[in-house]
Amino acid sequence: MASAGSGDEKAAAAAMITLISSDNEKFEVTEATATLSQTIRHMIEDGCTDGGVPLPNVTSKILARVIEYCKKHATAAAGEEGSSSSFSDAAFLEVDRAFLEELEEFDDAFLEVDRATLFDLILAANYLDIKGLLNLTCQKVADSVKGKTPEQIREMYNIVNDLTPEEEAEIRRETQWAFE
Amino acid sequence: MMPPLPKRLRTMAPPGPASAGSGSPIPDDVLFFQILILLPVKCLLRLRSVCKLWRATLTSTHFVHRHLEHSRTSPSMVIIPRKYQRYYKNFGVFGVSFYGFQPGQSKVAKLILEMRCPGGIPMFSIPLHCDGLIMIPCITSRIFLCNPVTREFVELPQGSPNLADGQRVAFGFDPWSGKYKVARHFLRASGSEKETQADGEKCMLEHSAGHEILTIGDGEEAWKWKSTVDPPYAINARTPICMPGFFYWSALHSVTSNGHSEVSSHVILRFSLRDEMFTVYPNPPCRGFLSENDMLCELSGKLCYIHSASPCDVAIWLAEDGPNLAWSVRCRLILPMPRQLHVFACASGDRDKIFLSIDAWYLLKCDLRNGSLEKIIDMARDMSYDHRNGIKFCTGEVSVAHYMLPCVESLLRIAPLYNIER
Repeated sequence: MASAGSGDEKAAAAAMITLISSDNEKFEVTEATATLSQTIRHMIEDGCTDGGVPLPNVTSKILARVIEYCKKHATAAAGEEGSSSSFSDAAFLEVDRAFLEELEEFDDAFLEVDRATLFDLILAANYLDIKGLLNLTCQKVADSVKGKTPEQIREMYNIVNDLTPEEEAEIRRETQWAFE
Repeated sequence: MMPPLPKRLRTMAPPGPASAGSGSPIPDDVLFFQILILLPVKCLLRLRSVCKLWRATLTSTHFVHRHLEHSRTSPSMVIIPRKYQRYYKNFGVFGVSFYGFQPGQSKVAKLILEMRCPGGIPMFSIPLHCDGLIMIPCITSRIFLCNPVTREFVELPQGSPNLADGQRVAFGFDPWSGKYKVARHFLRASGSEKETQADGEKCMLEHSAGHEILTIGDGEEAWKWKSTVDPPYAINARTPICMPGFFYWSALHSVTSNGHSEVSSHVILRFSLRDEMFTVYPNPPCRGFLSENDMLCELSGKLCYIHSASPCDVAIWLAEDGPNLAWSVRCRLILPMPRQLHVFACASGDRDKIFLSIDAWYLLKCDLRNGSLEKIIDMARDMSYDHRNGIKFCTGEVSVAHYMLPCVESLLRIAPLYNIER
């Protein structure tokens, strides 16, 4: 995607970017992996990645996980682009399905983390603007919120209830059925 | 509609510390606009009582719009069954019920909301949907607007008196003002002295076609019917097609006599919500008039004409956008059962496939690429309406129209924040 001519393809595939975590750890990744992050893609386009990309908001622990995600999904993206012409439709669909299933399994396993890590992944995905990762992690949190009562939410998120008892009663009265 | 946030600015700025308002480790922007917008409406209504910040945010216009944008990516189907009432002028219906339905996945339609009105409501015709709001146009001049998932049910103010039997109402979004609007056509008397002839027998009043609009929401101008220019031709009593910014009506252009019978000629009128003017377009080339077996529909933002020349033949015509409506046949098909009245089409999640409802009774899925049809459900015999309280029923052979609407879940409020006078 970054290069249209076939001669440039090898060079682009080989291009490496260095990411530097908040605790100063360096990670070498391919450009294809790094550009899943829109933030880094813009930096590359602006030509300001020489000497590495400092990411002062992301720790090495989290960055390692983010890179793991990007590597997997960058391969998926490359597979989609490359294989469309070399398979018959049916074969292509078969490969596609198997690959999607594998990707889904990867995502499910990837989300098996504690809450603190999940939140850190959301912050990193938001900062780095990685749409797929942000959607994935946000959906996980949304699912955990879905069936909860307001009291449970306050507890989970450490929120102080500053509504007066009258205000709270009014909200309940307006939509009593939503609390049942 | 809210413009999207400037992504680059937003993401390049390092996230600030968690806001003081909520003790959450996730910044409010992410918490509300990435996570909570994914939740269903019922859950969000409950979460308004978490704290002041949550209440203010979850009821804000910005949040409601972002939630709606997300909802649009997962549309569902709402079924509104309505019993046929032969003596509809004298008897109404108890109310209206909304059921959620997943075509092809299940044969059960689950109750979303049952609205029983004291004294009932008049018989209604085909409901209209826009962004989670459903309009119920009654045969008389009453009109109801409902958001079934928030359970808001509001009657609109009465419009101008209507001489015609049956009214038609349009409802949709106006992108220029950012408001939801209702349009209504009516026949007004224009020669009341001619009401009785010398011999005492009543004769038809002289009449002319009128048209008025009403804006939903807050503000001085809202909730009042406002006359527009009269339509250039009398609007047919057929359901209009409502697209963002435009309402399309069928209208009677002329009647010519060819000796032994009269031939009507119809046109399509486009009413623009921007300048509130009408534009006249010819009927599609397949037929000079909208016969009672034909239907105007909307498919993925395009005007669609369902032409049915005989009970099993259907041709789906689509109009290209542009200053003129350029019609072409998209697909011809043979129905597996004859239609009695007409066939209604609506979009499915798949771009190449549409749902067809025959006589608001049988539901089929049609592949536009080859005209193949897949039977989804016979709504009268096989649809199980589930009231979620242990009661389920099938309508069977009772004459019921199973109106089907593609619908989204939204938090949109109908009534303004102050009380409207009724």
